[in-house]
Amino acid sequence: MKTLRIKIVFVLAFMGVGLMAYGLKFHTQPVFSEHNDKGLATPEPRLMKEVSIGGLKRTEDGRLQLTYTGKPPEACPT
Amino acid sequence: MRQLKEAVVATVNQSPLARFLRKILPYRLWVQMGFLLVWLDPLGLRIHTLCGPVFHCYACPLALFGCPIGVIAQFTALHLFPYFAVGILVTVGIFIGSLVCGWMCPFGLLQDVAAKVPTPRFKIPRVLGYFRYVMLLGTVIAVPYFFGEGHPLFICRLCPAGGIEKALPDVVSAAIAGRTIPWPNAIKITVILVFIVAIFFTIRPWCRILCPLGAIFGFFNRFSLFTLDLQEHQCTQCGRCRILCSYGIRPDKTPNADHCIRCLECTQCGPAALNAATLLDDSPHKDDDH
Repeated sequence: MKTLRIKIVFVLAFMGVGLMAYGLKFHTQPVFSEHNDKGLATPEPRLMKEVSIGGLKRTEDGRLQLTYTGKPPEACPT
Repeated sequence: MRQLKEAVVATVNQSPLARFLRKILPYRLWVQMGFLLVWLDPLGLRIHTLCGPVFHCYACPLALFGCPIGVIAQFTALHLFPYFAVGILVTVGIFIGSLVCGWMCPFGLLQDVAAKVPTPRFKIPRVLGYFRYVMLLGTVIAVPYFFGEGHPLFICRLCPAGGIEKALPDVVSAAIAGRTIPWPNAIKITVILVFIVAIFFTIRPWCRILCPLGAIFGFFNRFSLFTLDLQEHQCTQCGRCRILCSYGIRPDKTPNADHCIRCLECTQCGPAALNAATLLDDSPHKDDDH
């Protein structure tokens, strides 16, 4: 039983590190703004920064769009 | 005499980790404060491109990392999968479980400090701990996914951490400066007031009933590499571990319960039957599964 638990630990640790690495290095999303209709490929760390200030919204046509132009808000509105 | 001898032998046979944790256990509050210094971002780095493993609102002007629960909820509201936030919670959870809650979390520290005030303390039924999973699935996943971040039950709109770390200081600073006071909404004010009252009359109410991050780390307690090892042959069923536990857990039955915050107070029980350990440690009961 203990061996099984150790296996579970290492599989989940591997998964966790894999998810972190994928998020940091490879996961990007196109983000649109008023001045950019083509969508800028934005990496996940930048997305995290934007959501922490309420800087992103999903538009009705399904696009990710910045909620501000110019200076970003200081903090999340919630 | 025989029991004392066995306890001494058990203490000597403890792993280096168990001995180390037993040594620093009286200074847990200081360890929490050390971590608080890190989370409070003394160097002003504000690395919100990453999230930390603790409950600390990213709206707070003194926050080094983003809040993982806030990031997960906001990403869910945008219908994105938060790879990094989930990854860090899985990684930290599978290694140490809710040791984060007991030793590292600044919001837990706030409640631990309030617990030092000598007021009457009311017990919380253990079953209420399952409400943390309702919070996690409801306010962090379902509500954001189906209704977006504008819904009043969105976690950040309810969270007392945001209220205490951002809304309350904003109100106070605006009042002092004579500016228009940015009052939070009624739900937030109610949550803040209830939280402030509750922390003086029960121990860690947020962590035990509502914290979605605690639910995640608590879930990992059963599998994590760090574990509480119960030596059944050492246990005298004296019940002292239950008295030492402020969270209503029965460490002699379920040492790795998901309600446990791993403060490790129970390891101070007389017979040294409960020890902090890792799954990799050699144990006389290595095939036991507690």
